[in-house]
Amino acid sequence: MKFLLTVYARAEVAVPPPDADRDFVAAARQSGELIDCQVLADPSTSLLVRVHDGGTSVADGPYAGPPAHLAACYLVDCEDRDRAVGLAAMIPAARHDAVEVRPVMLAAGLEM
Amino acid sequence: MSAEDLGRLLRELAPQVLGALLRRYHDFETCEDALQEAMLAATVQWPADGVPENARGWLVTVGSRRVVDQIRSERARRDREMSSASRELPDATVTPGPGEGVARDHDDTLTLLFMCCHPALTPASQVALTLRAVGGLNTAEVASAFLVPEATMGARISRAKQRIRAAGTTFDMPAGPAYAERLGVVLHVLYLIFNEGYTASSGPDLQRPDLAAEAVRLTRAIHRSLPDDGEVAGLLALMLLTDARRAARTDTVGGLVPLAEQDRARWDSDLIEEGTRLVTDAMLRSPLGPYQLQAAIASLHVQAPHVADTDWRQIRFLYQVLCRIAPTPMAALNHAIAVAMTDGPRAGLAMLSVLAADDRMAHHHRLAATRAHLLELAGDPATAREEYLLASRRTTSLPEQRYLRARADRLAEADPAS
Repeated sequence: MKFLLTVYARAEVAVPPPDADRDFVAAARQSGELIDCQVLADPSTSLLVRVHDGGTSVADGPYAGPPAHLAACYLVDCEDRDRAVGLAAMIPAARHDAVEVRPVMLAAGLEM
Repeated sequence: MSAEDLGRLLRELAPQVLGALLRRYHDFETCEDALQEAMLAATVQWPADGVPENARGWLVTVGSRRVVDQIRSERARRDREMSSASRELPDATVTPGPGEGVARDHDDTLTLLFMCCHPALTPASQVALTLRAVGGLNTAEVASAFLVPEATMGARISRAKQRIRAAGTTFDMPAGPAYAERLGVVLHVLYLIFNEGYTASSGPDLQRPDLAAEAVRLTRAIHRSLPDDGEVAGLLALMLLTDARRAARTDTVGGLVPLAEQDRARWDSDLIEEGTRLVTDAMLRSPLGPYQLQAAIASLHVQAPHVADTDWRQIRFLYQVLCRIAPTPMAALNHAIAVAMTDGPRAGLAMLSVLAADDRMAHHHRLAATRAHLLELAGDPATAREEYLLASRRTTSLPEQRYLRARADRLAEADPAS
């Protein structure tokens, strides 16, 4: 099953994800569970794109203001939800705040 | 020889070649790498030079050379590190040893399956390793079958091989009670491979290996080795009877067609006939087991010429037995559906409310979807619609979600007040 683990950071958290999550990334990569790992640039660099009446407007982000911003996301493929929770618990942000674990939709299914 | 035929021939030979290598050199990790290299060499050379007369011997020879090279380079490395090692190299002879003939091939497949389904591995690793070492797929093919990058699958496979080495596994069959237990794991792994292929979305994807066909091929191989095992026959029958519906279960745009609405003319009658014969024969001759029961149920479904002819009474009885010998929430859910079809939807709904107390099932989309269906049959479209929507939010499958939303929309159209 594939899950997206998203890490939210509060402004006061000192260590940014690339360094803080090193152990998690190494473990998930070695076990053959890590599919993709993206750390996002500072929220002040984000842009909001809107199309209205055929015209495109671009404004400064982020989309959601404080208290927390999206800092990193990891796509993993693991046995089940329990294992995804175990992986998320390895990310230090889980200790100060929370890591969101969300299943990724599949393009396949069973007839009912 | 077409690329497809060549691939099929190589996959057929893969477990035999790996078996021969393992009997000589023992180390699973090295031998399995050597098999992959030998197969790669064959895909390059055979189309140009033609398939050698003794294709299996050719692969064993090339594989043996790779193993010996590997051992030599490892020894050289150790020598550099310790400058004291002097280890006898195994003989790289390629003539088959006594008892290495073709008669053992099927048993080799079985022994390898037992190794790859080692309990030290997670099911996902057992599946990946089985497809590579026994199925003869390469890492890129296994990766594309599971829609993950090759690097991710490569790491998973090499971790699995390290675990097998660490567990000290040898190329032997486990004895006594361990045998039956491991055979159960092997069958479960083949079932997982089949399901992964069966649930693959719309139409054949040429880039993606057909895992359902691969699972059937491997299960046939075990059935040849163990013709008297009723559960092996039962699993093979279950796969064939499920696969028989393949063409009818998706519509032209890849949407799911429920069993009751499938065009039965598109079911594969040869597979139905073979699967039914297998399971009937197994149930007469061997102790009953969950795969046989599920195959018997699948057989009853596909034998009905029209959905209205379905023998729900018999299906209900079989689910009742299944819930007794191998109780799972999914079996209980299906039992409730069968009860609804024989005793009316309210009787089925009463059983579902018991099931909702089970933690494994309470938040499962299948429970909500089944409740929705039975409420619809019971003439309560408003509540049915809510349950369809709940199920559509809970599923992680896009085609299932589309199907469940369409059911909910249909009820909203029929009853605009809701």
